Amino acid sequence: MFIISRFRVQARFSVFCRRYSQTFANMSSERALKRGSACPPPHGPGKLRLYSMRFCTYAQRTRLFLAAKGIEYETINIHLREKPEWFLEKTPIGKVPVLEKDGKIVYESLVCNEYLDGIYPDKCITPRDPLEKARQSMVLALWDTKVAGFYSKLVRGTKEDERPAVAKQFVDGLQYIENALTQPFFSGDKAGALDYNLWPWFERFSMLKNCAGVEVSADKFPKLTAWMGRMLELPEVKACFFSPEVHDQYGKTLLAGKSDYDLGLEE
Amino acid sequence: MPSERAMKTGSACPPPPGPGKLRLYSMRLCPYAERTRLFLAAKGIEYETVNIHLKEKPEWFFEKTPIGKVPVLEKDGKIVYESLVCNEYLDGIHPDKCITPRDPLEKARQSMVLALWDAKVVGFYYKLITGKEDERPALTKQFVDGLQYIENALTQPFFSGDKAGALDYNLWPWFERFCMLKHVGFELSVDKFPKLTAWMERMLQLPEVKACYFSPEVHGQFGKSWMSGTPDFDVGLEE
Repeated sequence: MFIISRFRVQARFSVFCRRYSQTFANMSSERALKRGSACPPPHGPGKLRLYSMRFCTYAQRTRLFLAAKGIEYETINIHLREKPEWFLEKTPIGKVPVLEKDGKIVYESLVCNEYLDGIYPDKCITPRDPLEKARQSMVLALWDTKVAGFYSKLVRGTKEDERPAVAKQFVDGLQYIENALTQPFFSGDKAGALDYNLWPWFERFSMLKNCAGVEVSADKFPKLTAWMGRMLELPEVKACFFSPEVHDQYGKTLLAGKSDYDLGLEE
Repeated sequence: MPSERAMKTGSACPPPPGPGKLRLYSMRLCPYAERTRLFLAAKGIEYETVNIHLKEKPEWFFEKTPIGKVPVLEKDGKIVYESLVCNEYLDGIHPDKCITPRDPLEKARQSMVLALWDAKVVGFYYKLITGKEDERPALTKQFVDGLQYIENALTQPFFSGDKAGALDYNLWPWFERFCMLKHVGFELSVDKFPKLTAWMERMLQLPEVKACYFSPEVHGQFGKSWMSGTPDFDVGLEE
């Protein structure tokens, strides 16, 4: 009788430990959480959580800021085609990145990034000078209007006969960005907000080559090419980096309509 | 300078504004430009206006801004475009009577409400105005569902608190134009949207809103001219 009781106590204690560690330990799941998944309990007081997707360009903007500023955080990846219901309660727009801290939610990549500079003001990346801040915002507006849409069309699959026209629009638009680069980095001597906010698409330019035959040549874009070389040396960029091979593999799953958000993770 | 008439293709580029003087490139009925006009009025900033013909844009305008949209600010050779960027820039160079929130979370909150507006409401507003009659019921539902998010975001007398602030001015222009939705069957009901209805009343009392205001009749006239394919950017101006 005594022996059986002791085992029961040990069994209950093990269950308690498992539940305790699940609740309070780091909740980071690299695997994308889907519809039907349980809402992860909030991260501890004062702790930062990022809702993300490993291959999302917009989420990478925020991951770059977090790396550049040396902020600790945990990540929950979201399955973007089968979004968990609880995710839509956090953000009605339902996109990543989303930051969560002490019950406060912030979404939209540029809003998240400026917010991070606001709550962690040392090592400030967002420019303080009003004209410089406006200039960086305008380059991003040019990116959105003149480049991003054509980039998207090219990687998501454009009909072969439409490709030359879309490729031309992409290259023409990219010229504005080339022209905006007048120093080693978009932000000056060192990388800053605008560099990190633009980088994710440049990291994926191999996808343009392989999906659409569009190459960003050093002849046509000498400044951007040199900038890309500098960015690839930075620790914060390396920390968030996926290789061209991985991006191309992911890109293929995207083209097939079955994005593999967990690509590269061990089973 | 100042003709209010919209400048067209083929017009001469106006000489730059004098040193230290602010110029706004605008269009009298543009809601995005109205955001900046509201900030300028609220902050009591002096400026001159050059209106742009948005269907036959002057070539020189594209040299100032490759995106080719209003509003655009020009001062001492510096150009700023994009309504929200213009507005934050104004607070940056005229820091007294600051409208943009300084607290990081409040600033983020206001930006997120504008993101909700963009994602859930504004697209359906334009689709309703320009869309076909049989599409109206579905579009109206999407518009109304989206507007609920904005109603829910209003938890104080103004979006910014006790007094009007950045978010109030950045949202206002479309509410001023809700009269244009009447002819597609939408009216803002005080039952469904009590807080927004009350907020609109408060906004209409403010001098800065009155200074930028056009009546439902003028908005209606402009809307008709737009739908006919020949927008009258000079509507209401004397010949």
